[in-house]
Amino acid sequence: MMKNKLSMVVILFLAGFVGVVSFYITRSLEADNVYSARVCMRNWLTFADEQDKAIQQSDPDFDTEAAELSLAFISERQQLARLLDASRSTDEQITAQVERVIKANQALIRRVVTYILGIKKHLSPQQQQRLMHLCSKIIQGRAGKRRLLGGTNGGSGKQYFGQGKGNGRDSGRYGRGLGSGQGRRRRYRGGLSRNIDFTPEQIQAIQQLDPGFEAKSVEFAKIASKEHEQLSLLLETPSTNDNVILQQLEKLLEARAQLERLTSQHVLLIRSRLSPEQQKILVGLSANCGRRWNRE
Amino acid sequence: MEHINDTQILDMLGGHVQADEQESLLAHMAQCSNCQQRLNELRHTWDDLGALEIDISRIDLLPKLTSAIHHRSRHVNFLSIQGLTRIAASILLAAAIGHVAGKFSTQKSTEEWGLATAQASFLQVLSPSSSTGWGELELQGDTLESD
Repeated sequence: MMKNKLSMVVILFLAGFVGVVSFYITRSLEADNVYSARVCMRNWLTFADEQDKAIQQSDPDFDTEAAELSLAFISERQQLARLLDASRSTDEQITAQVERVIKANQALIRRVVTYILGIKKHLSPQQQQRLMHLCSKIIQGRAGKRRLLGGTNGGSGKQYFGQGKGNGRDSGRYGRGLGSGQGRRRRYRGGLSRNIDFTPEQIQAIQQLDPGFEAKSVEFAKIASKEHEQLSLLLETPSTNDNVILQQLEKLLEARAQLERLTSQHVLLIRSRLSPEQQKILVGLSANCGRRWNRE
Repeated sequence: MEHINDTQILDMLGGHVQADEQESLLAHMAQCSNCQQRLNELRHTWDDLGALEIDISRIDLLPKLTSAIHHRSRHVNFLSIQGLTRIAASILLAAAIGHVAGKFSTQKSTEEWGLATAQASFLQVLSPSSSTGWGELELQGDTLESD
């Protein structure tokens, strides 16, 4: 009798163990599962069967092509990081590589927008609105994971201007304050200088070396921002013609490319004045794009 | 011929042997005093038992038999085909329940499908981010500060 009970306990334990293992394996497989764009959209926008078929037939190669373009872009960017890291690389080589990075990025963006516009034709007005709203939020840089999942809004971008200068430890560290900063004069605080932590002496030397960079950078960034906003607006307007959207996309890509070229020329000017640690940071800014750009 | 054993003698007394076999046994006993003596002893006992009057009509053996069968059936042999089948079925059932529970626990909400759509469609490339990585903050409009 005891032997029977013991056997039953062992079997129950074994079954329980198998059940738990099965549970966690399924969970991990599901978590790692990379769904195609269409499958995700089908679940999100609840496609009807006819819509699903039509969308599948309209652009069946998107997943493969977009993945290839994404990998090509990552590869070009890592090559840029390698060139920057190598002391023998010439400015011409780096400039040419920057162009390749820009082109690879533009190719990917064009492919994504073409796909979205192709899908849009098969969607109901409500579905179109949801998809375009998502695109618009992403274009405006307002669609982080937390926000998409219902996290807090606000606190990003330009509204950081205002009070609250920080601890003054060095020139590149300032606290972010609230408010709109009325009556205050805004001063350029370059992204690179904050990323790289320039010393005051370096800042002075860099300003002498490339005096026009700050003003041009602000100007180009404003143009790019305006083009982003315009594209976002067009996407959110249901009646917008696809060609108009594509034209606006080209304007945006050109504005971004201008800023990239300006920044890369600035990088070439200053790179010889950086310490080895600062150079590593600069290289890292280019190299660390895998997680951001590839499917996480 | 060897001596006749007790079982054969009892069978003969009970009338459970064939005629030719009985003739053969009797022929042996006619020549074998030992077997003759054993036959007489067992016949005496057989006759005594036959003289007893025992009524077994009121004795119901069914409950005892059922109980015995039930008792024996509780001793499941886990190494038998039936036992192994039960074990395999239990494990398969547990695995299936675990799989279904795992699937259920990872079901995405609508918002999560929205996020998955953005990732799977590479929509993040539309965000204001620098392709080289150097103009990230400029593109995000995060390069101005107050004096």
